[in-house]
Amino acid sequence: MGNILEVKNLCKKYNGFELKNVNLELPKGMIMGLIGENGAGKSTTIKSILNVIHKNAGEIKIFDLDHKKEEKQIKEEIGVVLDDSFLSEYLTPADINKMMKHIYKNWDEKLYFQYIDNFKLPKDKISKDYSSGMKMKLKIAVALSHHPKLLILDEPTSGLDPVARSEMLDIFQDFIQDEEHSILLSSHITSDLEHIADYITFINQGEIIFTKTRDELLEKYGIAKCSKEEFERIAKKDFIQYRKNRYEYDILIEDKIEFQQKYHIQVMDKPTIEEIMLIHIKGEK
Amino acid sequence: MNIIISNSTNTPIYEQIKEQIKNKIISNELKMGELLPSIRSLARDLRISVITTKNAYEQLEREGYVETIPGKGTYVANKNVELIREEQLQKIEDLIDTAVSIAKLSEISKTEIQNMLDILYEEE
Amino acid sequence: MKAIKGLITKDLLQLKSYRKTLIIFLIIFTLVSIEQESTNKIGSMLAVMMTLGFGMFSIATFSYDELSKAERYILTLPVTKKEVVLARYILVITSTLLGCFVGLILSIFVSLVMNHQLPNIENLLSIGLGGIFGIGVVEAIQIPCIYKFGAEKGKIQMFIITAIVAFLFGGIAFIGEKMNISIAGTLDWISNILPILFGVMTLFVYCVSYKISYGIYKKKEF
Repeated sequence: MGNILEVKNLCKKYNGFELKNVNLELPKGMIMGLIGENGAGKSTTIKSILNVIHKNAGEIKIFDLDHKKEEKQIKEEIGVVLDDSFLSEYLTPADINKMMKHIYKNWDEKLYFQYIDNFKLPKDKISKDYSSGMKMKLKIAVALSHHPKLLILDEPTSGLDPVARSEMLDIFQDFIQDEEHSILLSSHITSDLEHIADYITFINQGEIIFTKTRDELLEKYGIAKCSKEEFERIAKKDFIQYRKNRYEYDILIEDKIEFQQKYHIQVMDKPTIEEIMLIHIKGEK
Repeated sequence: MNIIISNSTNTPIYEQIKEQIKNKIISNELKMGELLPSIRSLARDLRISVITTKNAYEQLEREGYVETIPGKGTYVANKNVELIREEQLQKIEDLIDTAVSIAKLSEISKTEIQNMLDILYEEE
Repeated sequence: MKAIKGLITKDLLQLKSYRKTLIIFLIIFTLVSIEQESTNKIGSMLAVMMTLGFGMFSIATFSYDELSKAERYILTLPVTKKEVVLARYILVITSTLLGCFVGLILSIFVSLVMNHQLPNIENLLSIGLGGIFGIGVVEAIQIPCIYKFGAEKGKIQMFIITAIVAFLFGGIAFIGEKMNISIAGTLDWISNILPILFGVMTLFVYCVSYKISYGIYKKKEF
């Protein structure tokens, strides 16, 4: 199984921020979720991949093609949703169709209006008057209507209510019914990713902390909750990081079964992605 | 086919899927040679990641319950009924073994255990 | 080329909401020129104002894209930066020409209605061309400024640079007058090649401007 996207040693320095040696591999047919705090480097990574900012070093390949040299060909086959940038709000969905017909070789007018209908978006109304959920749906409809192979989505569920969010997740899962399709999405709503993402990549202060499959992270990782005394008998090498709370220690563990055979801690919780992130960011070693 | 996933138990999701499909095969709800839903459509319908369903199917395959024919799909394997029975017996033996050791530890008599078994069987 | 068509389509559709303003603009300036009645200036003012107006409307598309932060998204589409800049120039140049054309037609119309006669077409054309050149220079300065500083932020810089250029031209004309070189005389002298000269100069100015804009845009990050 080949990779649809490969990022090798990506570096980017700007505005007092640095992306350090970012490596990513997204296999075909998979969904990868990029998580991290605001300002951790999620958007910078995505912008570098899309070549709208200039990387300082590293190699980026999409469909096995160099993202700069074959830029136009690549962009024919990717669908993009950006959190804070889209076409002018003075355009209607019908206007956008007229434009995109010329932009994409594979623009599928019929499919596009099918999405517009399904999403219940008024065709001839400028999107300025849309709710934030409707605006996001419009972006997603546009991103899907030229039969892309790769979706790159920056915060695609932000601003959506839970019902709309779950609709989006369904659409994403429909999209990867084709094994040649993949999705890279960043989100700070980690519960969305807990369900559908196959790989979770955690980025913090411009560095990738880990890329793990969802199962490794949510089924193998554990959070041991214990007293100070219990904590003190745990060897440093057996946990990732810990966080000291007022009444207990939260200890992040990579393999809870192995750990339990050794320590038999009373409370061992199944972690959420959010908790894993928090202990990584706020915790100590 | 019903598959029910709980997010609040400690049993991993792939394990839950695996066990439920296995039970359906043993109880003959899923018949030999029957086509299972594809990894991707099952993932979509359960709203879980593809890797999780893949994991479950791979384990089922390793244990011989299903067979994957590349490009076609995953089918319930022609598994030897005797073999399944044997496996189940093994499982029961292990569980009774645990029960017996607990009984011995707390000085509970064999007849008491046997009575318990009788009651449980009749309840069914 | 197809991508450029798409980009221009987008700009034209965005300008749809300006349609009313444009029509009001047309009516007001036609009325004003009728007000001023039959002086020779009627035609010239109308043509120049239309050229300027249409040019400015097309430049307004920059603000649209900037306000909705569309630039980054547009670069994720299968379009090159060259095509994005080129599409803008094609739009601005076409609108400017169109404005001039509309202005000339209106001048003839006004003249026919008010004076019951055709205006001096030759005179009108050379004024139109002069207008295109002058406005072309202003636009050629404006567009790189917008690319450099942004449509909103760049307004002050744009104004200053345009003012400087206007002063330079004015200065040259003033010196010319002081030195008793009648501009009309000079025009007479080269009147035959004047239209071609203006045309070539305008084209040249746009080309230089395009090169500068593209250079700025290529380096920009979004």
